[in-house]
Amino acid sequence: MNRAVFTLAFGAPKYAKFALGLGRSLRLIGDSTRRIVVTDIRRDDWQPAFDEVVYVPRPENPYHAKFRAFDYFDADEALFIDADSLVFRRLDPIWKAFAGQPIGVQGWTISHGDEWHGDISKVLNQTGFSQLNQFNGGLVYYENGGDSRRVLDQVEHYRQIYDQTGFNPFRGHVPDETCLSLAMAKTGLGLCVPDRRDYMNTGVGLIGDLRMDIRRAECSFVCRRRELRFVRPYVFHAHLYSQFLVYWKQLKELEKLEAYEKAHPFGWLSPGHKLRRSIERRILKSQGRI
Amino acid sequence: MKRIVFTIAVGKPKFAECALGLGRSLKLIGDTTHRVVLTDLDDMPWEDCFDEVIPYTGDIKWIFFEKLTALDRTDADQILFIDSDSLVFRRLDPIFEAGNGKGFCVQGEWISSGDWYGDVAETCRTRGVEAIGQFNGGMIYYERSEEVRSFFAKVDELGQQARGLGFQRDDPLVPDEPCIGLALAETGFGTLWPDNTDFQNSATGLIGKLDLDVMRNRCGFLCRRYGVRYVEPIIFHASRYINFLIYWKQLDRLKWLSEYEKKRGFGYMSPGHKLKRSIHKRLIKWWIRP
Repeated sequence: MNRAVFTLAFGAPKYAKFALGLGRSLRLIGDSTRRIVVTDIRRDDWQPAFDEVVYVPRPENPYHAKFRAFDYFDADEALFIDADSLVFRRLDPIWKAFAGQPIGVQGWTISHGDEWHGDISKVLNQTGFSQLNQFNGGLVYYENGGDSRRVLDQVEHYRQIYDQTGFNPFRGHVPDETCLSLAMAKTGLGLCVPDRRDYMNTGVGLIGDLRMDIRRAECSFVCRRRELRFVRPYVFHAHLYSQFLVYWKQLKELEKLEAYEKAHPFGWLSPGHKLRRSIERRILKSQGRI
Repeated sequence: MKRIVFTIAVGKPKFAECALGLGRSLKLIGDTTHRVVLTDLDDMPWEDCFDEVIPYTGDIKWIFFEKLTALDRTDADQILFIDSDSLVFRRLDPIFEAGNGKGFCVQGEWISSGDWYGDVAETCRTRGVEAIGQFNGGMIYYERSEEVRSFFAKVDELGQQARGLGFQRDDPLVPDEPCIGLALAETGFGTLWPDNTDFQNSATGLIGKLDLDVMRNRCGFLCRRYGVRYVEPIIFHASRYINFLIYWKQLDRLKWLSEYEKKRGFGYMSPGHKLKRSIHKRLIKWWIRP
């Protein structure tokens, strides 16, 4: 199967920095999936973080551009990851979980409440559904096929009639998550895997420390979302943590590692490391151990 | 196949505290197995972390044999008994999968000499077996089947003869472990999982520090049991560590998290966290991003 993981970076330069962080984090952990960035930001350092760069003008509604993967590049399966994410474990289990599904997200079902883009009871009344999938649109899988096309056509349909659904707009735009949720309900297609799979987590409702260290491939925390739980996600979607230094520190570290790779050849040993080896060799010799 | 985790909290309130810690640790890591507690301790917040509470009445002398009664007390097909003074650090699916179809499993080794509830060599000689199964009864897996019921009948029979067989404890309670260990040998039924599966470990023979922290999902240590080995168990059976502060500190943390979940809603952000975000946002704007 021809797979691609892709992200979007439109507008302000910070989105390019986010996307580069994502691509570099995937590269750092040795994930071998083809990486593609779709962007209107011209830079000469997209590679090696990304294998392909697709330059397109900024779309009218950037939130919905994530559903247009196959307009931008050829693939059989696409995994969209929001640019402000970092990946800590290889993506294979995510591909495996969604394989054969036209579309896949991670979340849960809701039938009431007002925590997700409006009053859900009102939405269900207006749309006639009994429940909807609630999820974060920072991670969306879909395949290149007929069923997927049917769902995405419905996404577009709900985008057009959004003001009749009962959902609220988000930052002046029609959000993608709600339209996809409605489209999944309408078609009965797609898979919403349980949140407990921890394929992605945003750290919302954090309790205590956010332990995040790209050099140790570590990202874990306790958070209070629907339930209070310890989480070690594959993909950390920074979301509100793009306003925290800990996230920017990881971006800086990834940039430094990429620069290091360019500046040093295979197996390079620093002078400090060589000196240490020399001293420790003498110590070991004096102990008669080597 | 209906799976359950089964535990027992009978007698002193401390056993309820321990069992609540077990349930909360399972909840914290997002384990979805149905949790059942057998107890005579009322007025405990069992609903926090247990799906089913079964009232206990019986002869305390046989309390250790109660762990084998889940087939009669529940409608489960696969039962994982875990001692109440345990904490779980990883989801239980690998244990259920390892046990699937095997009937009865415990983690341990075959022994033919030494002292375990009496002289093992003498027991082997008088009962005409080569070795008996030595294991820690803090974790027992079993399934619904006629073979398992017959096996339990044999264990009960040996329990009735325990005193005559020399299986004694310092208290009047009848020990289950040697009866099961001998029944494994005499019937040839059941499986002894190798100790290095690390499904469960009680850190007996600890060397150095016990790294135990539910907030970090950490449980790792070096110990000298059958050999010196580094262990990161799925289930930490506190056993003798019930008399150590580090275990009770984990119980306190789990209780605090449980209360936090009740008091705080989805995605709650503390004022301190908000202030941190505000400061970091400014730092990122002025210092890092330009």
